[in-house]
Amino acid sequence: MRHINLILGIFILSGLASCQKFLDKAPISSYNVNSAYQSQSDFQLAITGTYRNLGSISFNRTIFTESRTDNVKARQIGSENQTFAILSTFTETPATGSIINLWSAYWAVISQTNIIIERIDAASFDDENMRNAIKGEAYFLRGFAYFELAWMWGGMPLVDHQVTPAELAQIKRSAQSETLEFAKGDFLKAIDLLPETWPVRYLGRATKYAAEGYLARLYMFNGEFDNSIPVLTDIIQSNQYQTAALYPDIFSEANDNSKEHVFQVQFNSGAGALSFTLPQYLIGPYVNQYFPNGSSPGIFISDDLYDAFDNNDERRDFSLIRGMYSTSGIYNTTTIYNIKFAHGITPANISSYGLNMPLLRYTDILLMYAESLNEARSDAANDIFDIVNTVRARAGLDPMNGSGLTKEEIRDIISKERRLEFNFEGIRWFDLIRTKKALSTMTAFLARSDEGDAQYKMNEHQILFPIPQDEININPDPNYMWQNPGYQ
Amino acid sequence: MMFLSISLLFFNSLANAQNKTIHGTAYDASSNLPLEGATVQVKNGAVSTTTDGSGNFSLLAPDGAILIVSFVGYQPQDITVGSQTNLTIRLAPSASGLSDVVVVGYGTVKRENVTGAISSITAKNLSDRANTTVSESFAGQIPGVTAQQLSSRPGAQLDIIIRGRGSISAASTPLYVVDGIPGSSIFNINPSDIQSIEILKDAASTAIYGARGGNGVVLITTNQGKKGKPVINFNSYFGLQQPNHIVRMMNRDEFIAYSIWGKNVAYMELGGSLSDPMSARPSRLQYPESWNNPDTLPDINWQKAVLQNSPISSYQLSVSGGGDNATYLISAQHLNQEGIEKHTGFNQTNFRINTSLNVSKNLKVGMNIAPSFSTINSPDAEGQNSAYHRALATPPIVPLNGNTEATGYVVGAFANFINPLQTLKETQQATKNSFIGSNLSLDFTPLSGLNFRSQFGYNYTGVESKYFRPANVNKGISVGSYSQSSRRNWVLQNTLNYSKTLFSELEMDVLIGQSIESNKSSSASISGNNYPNNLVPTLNAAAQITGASTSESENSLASFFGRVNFNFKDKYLLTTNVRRDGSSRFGINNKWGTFPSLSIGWKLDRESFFKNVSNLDLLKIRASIGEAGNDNIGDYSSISLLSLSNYSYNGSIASGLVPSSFGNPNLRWEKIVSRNIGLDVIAFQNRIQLSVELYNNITTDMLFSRPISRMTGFSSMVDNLGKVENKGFEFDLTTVNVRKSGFSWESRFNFSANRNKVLETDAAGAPIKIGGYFGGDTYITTIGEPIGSFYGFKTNGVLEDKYFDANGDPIVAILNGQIRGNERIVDINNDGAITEADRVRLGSSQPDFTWGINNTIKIKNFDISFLIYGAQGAKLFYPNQVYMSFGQVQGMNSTPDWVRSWKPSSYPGNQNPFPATDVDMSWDGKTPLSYGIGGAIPFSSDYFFRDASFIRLKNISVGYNIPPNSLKRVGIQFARIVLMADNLHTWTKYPGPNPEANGLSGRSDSGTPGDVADPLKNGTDWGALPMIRKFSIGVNIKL
Repeated sequence: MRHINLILGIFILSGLASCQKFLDKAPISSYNVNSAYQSQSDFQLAITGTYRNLGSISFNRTIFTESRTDNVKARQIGSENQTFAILSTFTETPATGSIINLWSAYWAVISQTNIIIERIDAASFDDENMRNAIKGEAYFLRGFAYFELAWMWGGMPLVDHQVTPAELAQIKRSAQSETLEFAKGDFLKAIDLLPETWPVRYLGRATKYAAEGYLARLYMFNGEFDNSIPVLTDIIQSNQYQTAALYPDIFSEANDNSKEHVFQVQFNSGAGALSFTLPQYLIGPYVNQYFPNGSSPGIFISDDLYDAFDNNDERRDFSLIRGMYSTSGIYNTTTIYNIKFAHGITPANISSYGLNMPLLRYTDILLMYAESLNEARSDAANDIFDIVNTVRARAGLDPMNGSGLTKEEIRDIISKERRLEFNFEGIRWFDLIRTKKALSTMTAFLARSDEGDAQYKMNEHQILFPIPQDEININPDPNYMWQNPGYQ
Repeated sequence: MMFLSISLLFFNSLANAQNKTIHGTAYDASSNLPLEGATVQVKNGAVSTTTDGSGNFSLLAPDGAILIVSFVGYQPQDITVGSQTNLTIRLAPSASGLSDVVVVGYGTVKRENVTGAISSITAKNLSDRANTTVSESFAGQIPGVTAQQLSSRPGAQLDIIIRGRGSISAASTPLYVVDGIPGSSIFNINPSDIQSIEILKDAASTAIYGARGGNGVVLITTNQGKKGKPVINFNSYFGLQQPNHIVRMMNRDEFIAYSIWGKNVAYMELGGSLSDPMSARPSRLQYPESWNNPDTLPDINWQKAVLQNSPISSYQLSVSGGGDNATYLISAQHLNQEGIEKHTGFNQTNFRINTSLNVSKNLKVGMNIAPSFSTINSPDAEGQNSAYHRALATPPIVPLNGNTEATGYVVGAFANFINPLQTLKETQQATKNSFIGSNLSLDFTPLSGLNFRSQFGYNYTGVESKYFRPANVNKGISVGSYSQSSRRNWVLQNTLNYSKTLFSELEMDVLIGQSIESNKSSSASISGNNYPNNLVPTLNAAAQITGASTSESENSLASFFGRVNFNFKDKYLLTTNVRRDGSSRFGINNKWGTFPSLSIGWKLDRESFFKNVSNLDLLKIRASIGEAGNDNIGDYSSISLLSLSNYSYNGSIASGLVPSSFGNPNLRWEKIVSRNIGLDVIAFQNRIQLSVELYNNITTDMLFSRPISRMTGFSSMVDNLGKVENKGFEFDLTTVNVRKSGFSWESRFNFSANRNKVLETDAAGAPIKIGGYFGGDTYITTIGEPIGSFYGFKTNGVLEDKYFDANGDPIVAILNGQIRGNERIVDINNDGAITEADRVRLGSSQPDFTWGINNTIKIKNFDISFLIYGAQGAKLFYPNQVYMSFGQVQGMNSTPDWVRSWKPSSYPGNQNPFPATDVDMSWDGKTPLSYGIGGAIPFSSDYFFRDASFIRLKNISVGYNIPPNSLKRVGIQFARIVLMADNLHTWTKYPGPNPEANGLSGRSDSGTPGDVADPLKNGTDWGALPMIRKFSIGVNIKL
């Protein structure tokens, strides 16, 4: 009896030995990587998901880079702890607030596109054109991320495949020029692979011309105007684009993905969609006709920008508003806010606009072309002022006569036009840096009596942002990762 | 279930031996009084009974059987059944604890034979406390166990940590095992239903629970009915609660004087002149005319307005008893607690049925069912931006009905700080918990010494939460949400136990077992806003549904385990355990882990060389080593997940997916190797009982969501890395100082010290720094220091005028942007600048040592007991204070030290920013320039890391047992009245109301109560409520 019981007992216990299946549990409420990246639709989802990063990128890059410039007041009372306020006074440290958010979003694009680039050739596609297009989009987005990282932070580790943290720690920061070269390579591949246009249902995805536009930007950053001219010419001669008739048209939902726009971040105020939070953020805590309930935190525009507009420049009052309102009535008549993105349909939730954010406009292409002509060609004044005057006419300004102006004078005219036309589109800081005017412009700006009488100073090293302290903490080996000069 | 039925099959085929009925009476050998409740058991058999009120018992026993008669506090006796059928048994009082049976994993062992580190709380320690929760009974009672009252919200649990934080992953909470079923919760147990609680502290004791034993194991055994006539037990208490501390904030005059000064100074900072009209100032720097006459304004103490004295009551009734074939216990309890914060409360109803049926001589079947239902009402009660936080910060000049949408906002009162009293009143937030624990067991003893036990447990936990905050107290937008979650877990475990004495002197006990377990959770939530009015709080009334979601997850565990105990000559003890666990949570490459342990003990007093030492009841040394694990990492951490990442094309939403976590196929349990040396001494007929433990626990392969370079596209990945050591010392001494007829005095003192030290982080040894709420690295986990230490700037006074030269340039290093009057930060590396490199470790929230003293004095029918405990050396980060210290310019009230903050010696243009006031505003010589007025504020400076050491008079009770003789006439066996006082006083320098506010819980600093614990940012106090001081009266009647 006793033995039988023992044997039975042991039998019962060992009967459970094969419970490996019992221990394999796949997630129920989450998608898992092992089952993705197999088919065309998987890659559609993957590239679409990658585009979403442009939401936070466009938000942060606009705020951070504009705050660096003479467009934004150097001290913003009540928001001293906000990253944009710290950047505006050039008092940032490697640990400053949310700089890392922008950094991370670019790297998210790189990691997500690397998976796509690595796996797409082995996947099954019904449509080879779509395979090429998605691959082109991935190269474009990766090039975009590296290009932006390069001009904002300098040389980056060049990661072109999926890596583990340990592998990454052994990839050294490259020189800025190497990073730009890498981005250029990606743009060139993208130009080969991307379609010239997309079917209507896919409007908003990157095209060949978007990649060309960014390639031109990169050339201009390098001062290679001979190279930017043919690329820009290709865009102009494609006849795909056309400047909007009126300045307000550019920022209306009805004209999203219209011919003015070469590349836009696609926003949508619907539930579950990526929506545009910048309009509300710019206006801030105070009540006005756009925001009857107020919001936070609000970026104060410099008088320098306001005054830079000609009094008849229609872009000024479209973009800026003077005066601050609170629930208890008007509170001053001096503070200036940017309202250019807030004119369209006011959504139910004021932090969820549906308007698209322009990243590359056709007007930009034209002005880039004008600038390249000025830099690389002589006797192009007529072509240049055709463009400048088109832009001016749209703003309600009289045409300018370019004859007799020096190259430097024309350069300044274009630069100013770009500042006004693209205010708060994240162009100004890039322009100041690439034209080597950042330090002189900002030194003069910060010395203004209404900007603190040189209480704040820009140092030369502040052309680059500091590498986020977290990155230095994670990889303290100075042979691979190091802080930008001046921030140590 | 198949296993159960197979088991049943062969149990039925049993032969019955020859039995006869034995009667007997048990007496106390010294007093000769009958003993009620003594256990009489047939050795190695399933049959047992207990003595009735007259000490009588009867049971069926085979010829020649050995009866074991035992009773808590007495030496057990073995009696061989001969021809007698009527026995008289006299039990001698024993070294209490010596022969008690201690519950261990999947079995029991005599206390004197324990070789691991195990502490117990018995029913005796649990009674006489007006405890709201079981966890409260841990506080200050057990060496090596910290039980912290993180929160005084109604229904809040204490945070229990055994022997220090062994993990930097999410949870270091112990495994709770209720009546053998692991993974249970102690929230749903009626304290009166508990027979004993055992705390297994070293891996030799916990390795039998394998991958979940690493944080220690708490075994809870509930009461069973005893053979005899029904016993009716009624237990009740009623108490009054009050907040134990009101934080001193500025009163009206201080607030006004300070605010006017602050706003004036800030305006001058902007270049304004005080002669400008008020309307010229930015609105945050304006103040109304009425402030010039403070007497016309209200002077409200908002804390007192939201706090209250409130009642608590508990009623408990149980009936237990049994006969030859069955025992039963049924009990019910209802607890009703109103919070010390208005409009908060907790009520809980617990039921229990424990039954045991002797199906045959060899077969016993038992079933326990314990449903529990509770409701917690706590509308935004505690934490950051909670009603209590806002009560601290609301200026005293806001009238009691002010600062709502209906009444408008008071100028100068920060608009986020909506009237906390109205918020509590109008916000509806209720959490309803339903719990059903059920457990079916089967014990089969086919022959002497062999026992097969099969147990099936099924627990259901349901949580339903409702929230509605009307527009009036939410800045014009009404919001609501509803969520429901449920967790179902079942476990089937089978064990086979065989005891045998070999070669007459070697007792051997072998256990083998197997278990499988499954946990499934699901949750659903909906949220909405814009309700038309406040009449309908449910979401059907919300104009907009802002979110709706459901989710599910599951995990499973399969295990095999075994244990062998040897006891040679009753002198040499050896126990070895092993468990093999497979868990669905672990990576595909590491599904299974093995957890062995070995412990030995030597009862020195049994050796001949100790024979002549008198008065020594037990002298035992023991040593153990073992390995256990921790699997608290979430269900799918090893798998790379994708998350939705939608975008739009041509104005229409387009679905997208991106990787959202970095998977790790090698992910496995974390390993805790624990070594323990212990000494047990019992002497002078139990009058001295001493246990000393020395331990060293090393955790390796820690489960850790490690920050990784953002250049990977992710910010963290779950990995096994690092090494942490907890070593410590525990001392537990019970002395019977006086034991005389009619007078006794017993003391129990415990002391424990634990040193937590990180030995390794990642391969590069890089410190893990975590930013705080106010930016900047605030927490650090680095080699040689405790997990989650505080990290920040050291300060040394204030940047006084003497630190600036004639041009106004600083002559000492300052932080970029700092001005005169800011804190003077110590330039640690002497490089002439204050940079990130000047941050240093500023202590940790883990105490250096904790201790407790419990005294019980009995004088005739009276008894008095009191418990004092304390913790020394912990610090807490008090961001609540930082927040409020922004103070005036944002319109919040602050602590009064800011009134006497640093003041400039002169102001621009010789203007005078001071109002006419009687308030002393001169600099007190230590407080820096008020925050919000100017300069750069190093938020993570030592100014905000406060010493949280404390000594607490936790409990005093005075009881009176009504003499039995007078009760007999009315048919009552026992009656007792007790007066109790809890949390009478806490001695501490901590400025907040609760020095245990977050402590070891590691609650993240977002301030939301119940947040997932993050040990890397330990000890952050976001507006914790005061502790509850409670005075209660209780009665206990037994029929």
